[in-house]
Parts: sequence; C-alpha cells; structure tokens
Amino acid sequence: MKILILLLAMLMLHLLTPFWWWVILLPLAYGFLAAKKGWRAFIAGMCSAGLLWFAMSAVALLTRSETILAKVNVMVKLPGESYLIILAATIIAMLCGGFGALTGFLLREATRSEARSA
Amino acid sequence: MTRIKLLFSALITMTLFYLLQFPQQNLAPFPMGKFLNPFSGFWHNDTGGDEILSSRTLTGLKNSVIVQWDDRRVPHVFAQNDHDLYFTQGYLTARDRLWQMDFITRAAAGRIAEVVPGSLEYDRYRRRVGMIYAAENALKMMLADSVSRAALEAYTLGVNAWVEALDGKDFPLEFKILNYRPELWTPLKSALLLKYMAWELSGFSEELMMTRTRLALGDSLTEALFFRPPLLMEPVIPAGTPWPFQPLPVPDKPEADFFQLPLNAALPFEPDPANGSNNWAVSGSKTRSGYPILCSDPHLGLRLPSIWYEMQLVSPTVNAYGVTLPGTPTVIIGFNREVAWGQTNAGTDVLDWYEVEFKEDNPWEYRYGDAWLPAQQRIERIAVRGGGTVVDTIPITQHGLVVYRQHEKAFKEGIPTGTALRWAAHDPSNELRTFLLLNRARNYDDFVEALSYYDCPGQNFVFASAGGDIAMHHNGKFPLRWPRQGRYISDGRDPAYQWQGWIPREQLPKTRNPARGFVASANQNPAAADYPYYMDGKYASFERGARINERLEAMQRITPEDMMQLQNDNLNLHARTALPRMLAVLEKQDLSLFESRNLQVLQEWNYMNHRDSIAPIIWDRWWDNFQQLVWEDECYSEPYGRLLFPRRDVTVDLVLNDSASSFFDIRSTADTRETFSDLLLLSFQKTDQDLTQAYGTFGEGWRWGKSRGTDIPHMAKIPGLGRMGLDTSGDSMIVNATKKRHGPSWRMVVALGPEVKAWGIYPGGQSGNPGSKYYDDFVDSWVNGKYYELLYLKSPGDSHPRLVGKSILQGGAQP
Repeated sequence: MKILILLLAMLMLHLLTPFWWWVILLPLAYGFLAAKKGWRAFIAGMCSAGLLWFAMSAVALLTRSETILAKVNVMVKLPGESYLIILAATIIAMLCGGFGALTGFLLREATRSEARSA
Repeated sequence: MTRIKLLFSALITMTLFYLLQFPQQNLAPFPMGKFLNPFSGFWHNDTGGDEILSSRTLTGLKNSVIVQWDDRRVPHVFAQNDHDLYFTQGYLTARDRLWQMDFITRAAAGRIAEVVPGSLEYDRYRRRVGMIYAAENALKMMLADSVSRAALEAYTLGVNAWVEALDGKDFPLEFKILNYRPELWTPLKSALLLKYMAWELSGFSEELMMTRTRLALGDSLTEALFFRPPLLMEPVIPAGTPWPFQPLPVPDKPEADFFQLPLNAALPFEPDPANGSNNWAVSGSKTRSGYPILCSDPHLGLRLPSIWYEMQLVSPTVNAYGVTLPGTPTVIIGFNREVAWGQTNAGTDVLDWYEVEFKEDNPWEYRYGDAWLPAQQRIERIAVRGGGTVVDTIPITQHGLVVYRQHEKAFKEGIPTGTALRWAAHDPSNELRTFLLLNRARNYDDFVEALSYYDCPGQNFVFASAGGDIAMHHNGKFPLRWPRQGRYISDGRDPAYQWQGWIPREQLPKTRNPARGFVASANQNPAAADYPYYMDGKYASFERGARINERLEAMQRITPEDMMQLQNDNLNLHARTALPRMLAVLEKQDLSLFESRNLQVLQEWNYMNHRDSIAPIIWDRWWDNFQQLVWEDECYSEPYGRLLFPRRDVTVDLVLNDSASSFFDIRSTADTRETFSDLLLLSFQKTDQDLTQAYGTFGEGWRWGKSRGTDIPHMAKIPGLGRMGLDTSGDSMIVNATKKRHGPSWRMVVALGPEVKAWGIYPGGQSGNPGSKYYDDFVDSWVNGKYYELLYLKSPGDSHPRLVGKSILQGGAQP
C-alpha cells in the first residue's frame, strides 16, 4: 500500500515537473515522515521508484522509442539489446529510492535520539 | 550507531545525486538523471514526431498556409504571400532540424564554449578569423534590402514560433545530451550560417606552405613544380572561348619582391581537402526530349543530420523545389517550372595573408607605407560554460583582422601568426538576394541578374531553362591580381599589396549555349591560359572534369537515366591515364608471389572503383606510396620541415612524359641513382605490406567498399548517432566522388520541358531526430546510387499516391 501511494505521488510529481530527482526526494520525505523501520523504508523506496521508472521506460520501448533506444545504447556503450538501458534506468531509480528513503528514516532517528538525549 | 548509519546512507544518497545530476566526463558526459528520466528524457525523442504536423493556428501568419507532405517527409508549402512562405519554411525547418541550426551557427559564431566546456580556443579562432564580423557586415546589406529583409524576418518569426512553443521534454535529443536549452533565432544567425558555408568553401590557404616551399626550393623549382601548365586539364570554360571585352588594367607587381616567413610559422600544415562538386547541363540538341537537362551534385563533408533539407516553396511569386540550408530562407540548389540551377565550388583564391609590423612600444599601431596607423579594436566577448566571460580584442588593419599576433599559438595549423587576414567574405554582401531571385528566375537574363548579387564563396553556377538555354558562370567577387599575387604571404607594410579592385562581373569566365552542346564544371581551373586575368586557387586535378566532358561529348539522345548513371560513374581516370605506363614498367621486375598476385589484379582491372573490386585499394595505396617516394626527398628541407607536394597531375605528367626525370632519384642515397622503375618496385612492395597490415590477408577485407567504405558521423560526433561502414563505390577524383567521410551531398537531375521532372537524393533523411524513422532513411538508397522522383506540385489541391497528409496552418492575431 505504502509502495503504491509513494509510486502514485512520484508519478504525479514527475508528470507535473521536469525534475528527475523526485526518485530521491520523495522516498526521503517518506522515510523521514512515515517509515517505521529502516529496512522497510529502504524496500518501499526502492520498489516504488524502481517500479515506476521500469514501467515508464518499458512502455516507451514497447510504443515507439525502439529506434532511439538502440542508438542511445550504442552511445552509452552498453552491449547488446536495448532492454539493458531500461535495466540501467530501473537500477538507478531503485538505488535512489532505496537510499533516499533510508536516509530520511535515519535522519529522523538521529534527530529523535538527539531530542531524547537533550 | 544511528549516526554512523546515517552518515553512510546520506553519503551514498548524495553521491548518487551528484553522479546523476552533473555530467561525468568519463562515465557519461551528460546529466544522466535528466537524460534517463522516463518522463522527459531521451525516451521522448521517439517516432512520435514522425506524425503529420497537426493543423494549428500560428501567431505571425497573415493567411492560411497549406502544407502537403509526401512519403519522404518533404513538405510542399503553399502560402498566399511571401511572408507566410518564409515564416512556414522557418517553422517547419525548426521542427525537423532545430539542434543542427543552433549548433552550426554556434560553431560559426564561436559560441561553442557556452555549451561544451573546453572549447574556448576554438571559439577564439572563429572570432579572430572574423566570422561574426563578416556576418554583421552581410546582415547590414541584407537588412538594407527590403526583399531580403522581409524574407529573413519572416523566417526568423517562423523558427521562433516553433521554439517558443517547445516543452523541455520535446527538446531535440542533442540538447538533452549536451544539456542546454534552445534559444531564439535571429537574422544574424542566418547570416552566420551563410558565412559558415563561405568559410567551408573558401576558407583555405596554402600561402604559408607555399612561402616555405619557395624559400626552401628556390624560384625555378617552385615554378616548375607548382605552376607547371596543367597539361591534362580541361578548364570549366574551354580554351578558345572568346573574351569579347577590354580587360581592366591589373596592378603591377611591386619592385621589391617580398617573400619571407613569419617568425613563428614552422608548423606542419595540411591544407583542408577542397570540397569538390560536379554540375553540368546538356542542351536540347543532345537530349531525347529536345529540352535541356541539368545535373547538380555538390560534394561536402558527410554528416547526420544532413546539411540539406528538401522542400517545395510555393507562393503567388514563386514555385521552387530543391534543397534548403537549415537556417536560411529560400531553396539553395533546385529548380522551378522554367529553370534549374546548381553550384560547384569555384576554388578561386579570395583569402590572403599579410605580414603586419606592429610598433615595438605600441601593439595597436602598425606600419602602412611611411606611416604608423592605429589599428581598430574589435571586442569579442566569449562566454564560457560555468566560467564567466573572456574578453578578446582583435586588431583590424587596412588588410583585415590580425588573427594571431606573432607570439600567440594558432589554433589551426597553417594560420601564419603575426599576419592579417583579407577575406572577400568580410565585405558586405547579400547572397540571400541571389537565391530569392534564382527561385523566381524564368530565363537566362533573370539568372544573370541574380548572380550579380552573389559575392562569396565563389561558385560555378550552372543554369538551364525550358526556353532552351544552358550556361555556366564562374561567379563571385574575385580580386584583380598580378601573376602569383596571393600565392605567398604578402607584405602588409606596402600599400601596393592591397587588393586594388575586382574583376568586373561581366568579364568573369562564363559560357552560354556553347557549340559542343553542354557545359560542365568539377572544381577544376575556371579558364584556359587565354583568359585575360590571373586567377589562381585550389583547383581540382583534371580527372573528374575530363571524365565528365568525355562522357558528355560521346552521349547523344540523353535521358535523365543516362545522367543518373553518369553521376554514379566510377571510372578512375587517374588510373586509366597512369596505370598502363606504370604496369608496363613494373611487369619487367622480379616480384614475390603476393606482389605478382596484386599485379595480376591490377592488370585485369577495368579501372572502375566499384565497391566489390579489390584493385582500387591496391592502386590507391600504390599511388600514394609512389608519390610519397617521388616527392618526400625534394619536398623536405631543414629547417622548414615538410613542404607542399606538387599537384597530382604534375606527377602523372612526369610518369607519362618524363620517366627519366631526376625527381625519381632518392636524394638520401648518394651513391645510387634510383630510377622510375626502382621507385615503382619499392612502392609496390610496400603496398602489399601496408594492405596486409591494415586489412588482413588478401580477400574480402581488401574490397574497396570495405577497406575504404564511407562513414557518415553525427554532426557533433556523438557515437551511435551516425551511420558507419557503408559499402560504397567511387573516390575523390571520380565522378562518383564518394570518399571515406566526404561525398555527394545532393544528387539532382532536372529534365526541363513543358512539365519539369526531377530526381534527387541526399545521404540522410528529413528529420534531425535520431529516434525518427526519417532520420537516415535515404542513406541505403544513396549508397546504392538510387534516386527519388521529386514531386513537383502545382497547386495545394494536387493529388498523388505519394502524398500522405496535409497540415493547415492558420494565421493568428498579429504580434
């Protein structure tokens, strides 16, 4: 459920603005505000961001981006099939989402423990 | 513990952000996050743009415009007035070629450093040779003329109508890769583009190298090798053509024969390869239809997106079809209902270097005659991405801009430091007017009037009309010179060296309806020795011109198909001229097994540089090695280093007529005297080694289409966006002038008559978007020498099975 909400929120922000870094910022905000456990925050961030970028780029490949995909593949020196660039985009989004959310969560933990010790 | 974890996790997150937000020189030289973002990144440069442009309302149009699209994405624009016509040309060209237009004019203006780090010296060089200076001068003339002004302003509005409506995710791919935004178009950019072409076609100079060569070899040898009358040459305007005029007096050569090298000039130097081209027209007496046929075939550096964009432009004043230059209004090479025209590069020298002596204690005063004159100061501001602005001040003297001062290092080898550049393209001119008039020309007189506005770069303009005229004009603004003036670096101190007037337009080499029934040019010498003025420059060797003449003379009842065949003619006239003599001598030598095999290949060769043949690569390499052996000793001298080699036809002349020449002796071997035969053998032996090393064992790898082949790289050399390893025939001095990275950029055949018919092809595609199926869809047909029939429509309502859609552009509120 969390993953779905995160994913939808990210989708909306992506559609409205040209910024790529929502895949970091949104999971980070989620981690800070709502996550209960570190590893769960990580997985939620990772899955939502990865799933979103994977789905969107797969749609692009399947609709009308095949030519450009093949060319970009050569440009970034990826070997073989054009799905590799989708894989690259997905992995990047997963890392961003996962570590974004974890950082958000840990940031809250750190500020809390500071508040407690104060 | 939490803090350590936080530190760790935050560090990874920040590193990720850093890596993805900013270009990484080695990993990915573009901002990866933005680029890969599936919502706005490169994924959107897909085939979506291939759809027919939807009908729309555009502010700035006066009336409605109808655009018919054919199956090759060529727009046929029907406007109700000229303003709307050029507005729409700008709009549609920007839609397909915006990045190319932006980048090429940035390159021209020296504004690359704004977008690509590390380009400051390139930009400085562009500014110093006066690209913006030249464009500003031209723009003043273009804007002073109400017709060219109107076209230029309408075109600008059209481009900007497209740019302003552009959303970030729809930016052309290259903007995303290089990470910058499109900017608004200006009339200056159109002028810059024309000057960019002028520099491409006339911005070469051998003066530094020639000066050095003359210093090293002395006068008589230099004359013998570099000014030998070109025996095999068939000039554009044949010998015997009458010159019915009283030539102007040409300034006398100053008594003091200045020739010396600027201090810092000991640089290696290879002149740029000339951009060659073919054009010809045959009169009705030689064609099956009884009407003239015109062929144009400019050869330029090959790249994607292509330099040309095909269009048909129709308004009540014009109906022209042909190729346009993305960034300028009008059709540049093409035809209309009554006439057709095309250009090849003239090659005549319009660029001289003058040594300038600055005052020792004042670098802004220079000697001119007996006086010290103050240099004008031109200030250039070069913006650098992420690094502020560099201010550069260029001295302008009586002789032009001082490109590099004595102590500076030239960006391009071959530019003499401490000299001023006099280039005809710096003078105000309005070439756009020529094309506006050519697009509307109806007969020979209109053609002549159009050419009277055309100054630089000089071109051989070919012309044919349905009325039956054919003509060839070597046209441009060419200075009056005494013999050899401008072949060496000139004395900037002596006012006598200044250009003193121009060859009058009506006295330039030209011919109309000659008895032989055809006119043709292939960048060779414009006229024979009987022409009253001294013209010199970088002219092509004899082969291409001679082969075209040979074929056209022999042909009768010519059809357009015959002309296409001739444009694709692969006969290597150079080999046909020199090879039999070389083989006759080589055959008597002792050859190894492999060498004998190579010999046999050459003996059996039909002199066609066909892609499936192995002989062309053996011949090509052998000639190069042979020529190297002949000249490397004569044309090398301490302390000057490598000197210019004589033109190829001089060597051919030696082979045919003077095989006992002492030039064949290798000077470094004092005790032996090598002969023509020795050099042939030595170079032939080396050829087998070279080829085996480069292409493996004899066989498929040696095939001309593979060993030479052709690459069409992307304009900014972005990997993956070009078309490499194309299996092509032809070569540089062959009518099918396809080379490794250079070749026929627009093959056009126009059959005039009551109904004009035309065929054409260029190595690219209409769309500049690498994700489009129209990006490079002509390339394979071009490789195979095929043509498309060009749809010449007469009215917006015309129907044709190859028309695939229509866009209606409505006028909106006036701006």
